[in-house]
Amino acid sequence: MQGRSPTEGWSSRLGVVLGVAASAVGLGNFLRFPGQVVENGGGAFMLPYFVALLLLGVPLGWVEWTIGRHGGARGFHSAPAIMGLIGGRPARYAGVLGVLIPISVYMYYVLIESWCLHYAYRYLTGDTGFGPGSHAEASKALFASVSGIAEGGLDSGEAFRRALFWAVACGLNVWFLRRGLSRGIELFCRWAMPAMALCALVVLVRVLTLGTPDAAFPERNVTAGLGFLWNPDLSKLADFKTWMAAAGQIFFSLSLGFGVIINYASYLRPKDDVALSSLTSSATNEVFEITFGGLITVTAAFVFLGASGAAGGTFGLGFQTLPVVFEHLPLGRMFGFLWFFMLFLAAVTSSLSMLQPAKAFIQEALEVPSERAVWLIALLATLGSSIVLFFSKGLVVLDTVDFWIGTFGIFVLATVQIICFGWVMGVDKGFDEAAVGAALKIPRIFRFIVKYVAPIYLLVVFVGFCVQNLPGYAAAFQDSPLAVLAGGLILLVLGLLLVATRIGEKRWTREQSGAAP
Amino acid sequence: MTLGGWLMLSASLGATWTLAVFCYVRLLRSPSPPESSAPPQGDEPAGTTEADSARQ
Repeated sequence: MQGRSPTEGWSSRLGVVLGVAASAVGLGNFLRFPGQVVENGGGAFMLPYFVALLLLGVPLGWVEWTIGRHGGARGFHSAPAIMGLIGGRPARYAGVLGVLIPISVYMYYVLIESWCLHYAYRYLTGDTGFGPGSHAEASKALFASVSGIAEGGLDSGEAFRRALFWAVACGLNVWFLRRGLSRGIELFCRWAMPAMALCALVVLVRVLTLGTPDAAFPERNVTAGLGFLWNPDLSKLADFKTWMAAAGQIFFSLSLGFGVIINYASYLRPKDDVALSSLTSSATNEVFEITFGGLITVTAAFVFLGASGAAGGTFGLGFQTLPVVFEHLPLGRMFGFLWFFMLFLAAVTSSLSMLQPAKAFIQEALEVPSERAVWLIALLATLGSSIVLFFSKGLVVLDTVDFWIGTFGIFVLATVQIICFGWVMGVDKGFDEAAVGAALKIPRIFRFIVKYVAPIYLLVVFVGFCVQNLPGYAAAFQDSPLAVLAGGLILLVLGLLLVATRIGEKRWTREQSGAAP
Repeated sequence: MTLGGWLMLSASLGATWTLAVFCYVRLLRSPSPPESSAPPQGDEPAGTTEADSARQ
């Protein structure tokens, strides 16, 4: 039993709720969500968004929380071991995705986290590089300097600073991971969540009180900015892509199919509530997404830059457009610092949750003590991340890992999970298990939704997503050596995790038969 | 901003905040199960869950 980690646990129910919510609240809430709304019909996007929340997000949350607690009650905390409990060998190996996804995403996510810290530092010290010339050019130069997108990560004079912030972000994650669940991750999330809300609230109040800052452009005002984001274009509802984008956003935003919720829920006690806790975590994430994501970025960008400036992808909006906005804003340096510090906190709470599943897995598979598991995971994650840092040109490696793991992989894992729960474990048995200790009665209609509606919904969205994106990303392997490198990195990590699963498999099977209820 | 925009914004904010307030009020009011009343002290001895205890 040396490798097992019964020593870890949440110190309170609020702690686990905040932990899961903090894992879900990340850059996607503040930057990806508004971009998706603008691109997919404005306010009309919210209709498929809430449908996806009701039919996919909330039920999948219950599924993952219940599976996690089910495994934890039998002494297991890693996705392969827990999934193996339910679906045997095939599910156990599919469960490897529940470790591969978080640790691979960590490898690039911690890098983006270091950008946020770097930006916050630049705003704090006033070293943003904005001068009397073009703000747009200065903002591009700032992003290039921080991210290394124009050249390799360690190829320029900025290399030392880039590596330094990256090392600080990596070190911080490992330090909190080492402190354990309740004294590390939970403690950090307990103060980071209110701090994030406070920073975002200050920026939100500033944005909503901007009025019409430039008299030369009276049409650029706060109300028009909100309208740019929220005015519904109902014709978009007839477009399949809008429904797919809404389902995708719900998915990524709630960290479903990521392997994190299963791991976090496995530290619950056998009679701890999962029904209300899961719903509360989802609700917290939605409050952050719609209140702060839906009101700050696009509105601010529209007020200063007009419609063309307010449209853009995650990185464009967050790291290139907003710095231009802060440059126009009175006390912009302070608001810039608050904004990027808030993004940094959001990123840390998410990246921390990505290491814990891998740590639990190493402990269980290799039977090593917690301390050694932390260092093994830190070594693997940091080496992988250093590759993303070093080969940062064009952000090809980052983008490739994000697609195959952070997008494609989570669809696969979520499908496996919901099929295991609804069809292998049995939907009635699963919901009866969810009802143990529940502080909220889950309506019976969700049994039907989990068994039939959600899997079909998920498969339709997944197939649509593959048709839309797979050819382009598959072709990238032929054109770009960096994409091949990223693919190799993923395969290497997958190989290591499969070997570890093979090592732990015999013992798990023996213990699972011993622990079967 | 059109009336439709205001409606979508108000409905979205209203729905999420109502759900969140409902959840937190219910969470804080509902009693914790007995097992949760003693928080783990960071490095508890093995056997803190029913399954662990049963196996030992």
